[in-house]
Amino acid sequence: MEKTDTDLMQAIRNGSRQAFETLVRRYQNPVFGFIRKYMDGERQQAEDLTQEVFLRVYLAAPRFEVRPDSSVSAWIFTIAYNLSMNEARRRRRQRDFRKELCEEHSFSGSESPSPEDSFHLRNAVFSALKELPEKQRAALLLRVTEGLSYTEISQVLHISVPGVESLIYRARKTLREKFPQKE
Amino acid sequence: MKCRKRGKTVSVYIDGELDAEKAGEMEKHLLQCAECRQARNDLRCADSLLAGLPPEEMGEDFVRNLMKKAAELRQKRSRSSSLVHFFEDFFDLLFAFKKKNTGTLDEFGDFPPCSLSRAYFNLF
Repeated sequence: MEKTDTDLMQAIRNGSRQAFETLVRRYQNPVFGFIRKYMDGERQQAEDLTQEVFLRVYLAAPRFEVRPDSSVSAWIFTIAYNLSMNEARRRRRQRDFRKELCEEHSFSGSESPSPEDSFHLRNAVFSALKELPEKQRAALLLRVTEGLSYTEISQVLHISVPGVESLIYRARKTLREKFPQKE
Repeated sequence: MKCRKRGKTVSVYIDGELDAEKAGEMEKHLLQCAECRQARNDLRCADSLLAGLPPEEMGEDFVRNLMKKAAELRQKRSRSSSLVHFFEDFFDLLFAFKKKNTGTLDEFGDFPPCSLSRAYFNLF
């Protein structure tokens, strides 16, 4: 029988490397997918952040309280969300700084995507996601691509369940409005 | 079902997060209300855009590298905890004369068991 997340956390707390490896294998793709879509970043950067998430899980495992109501997935995604948010903010600060520098020296920006790419649906969806407010984007991805429940998302984002409902609805609506031709 | 609130409720319905009673009401309502059906299709469309993104998968060696790093980190931390022990013991020793009933430190043999020697051997 497959061990539950809670069983694995208990084993990790007792020092089991195998349990940690099982947990990593279970969550590596969902966490990586979430970070990649949330950040719209390079693959390598998303991989580094995913690694950081699991190292933090490993180090913090002894402090994780194993209770019937504690959700391991919500906890892992909380770490992923916090790390991604910090990294996104750091990148934005850097970008703003570079932009100021370029404007000051009349350089042209090198980061804007080529026109061909903009027409590609995948890039267009990524761009649309990127334009969503941070929490809307995170809530939508956690729900639609990672399948977390509203309660789990409320734990990850530290907001109420009605707050999650509103975020997801607004995110869906905005995303839909950006692709009126898509049926 | 009030249609002016339809959007958000439809969104919650799509996610299967409405309780059984409200979900039943919504299903009946959807049969009658074309506007809400359209809203449901629109919101589902947003989901299908995300579902159309390529799946993200980690490379084969991710777990191997991660386990290696975790082991290194653990080793590093256990070493640093020895250092913490060392400094705790060191400062205990340094200020031992201020504590009552600690005894004199005229002879090295008087060191309390949790002191410099233990910290030394833990560290190296």
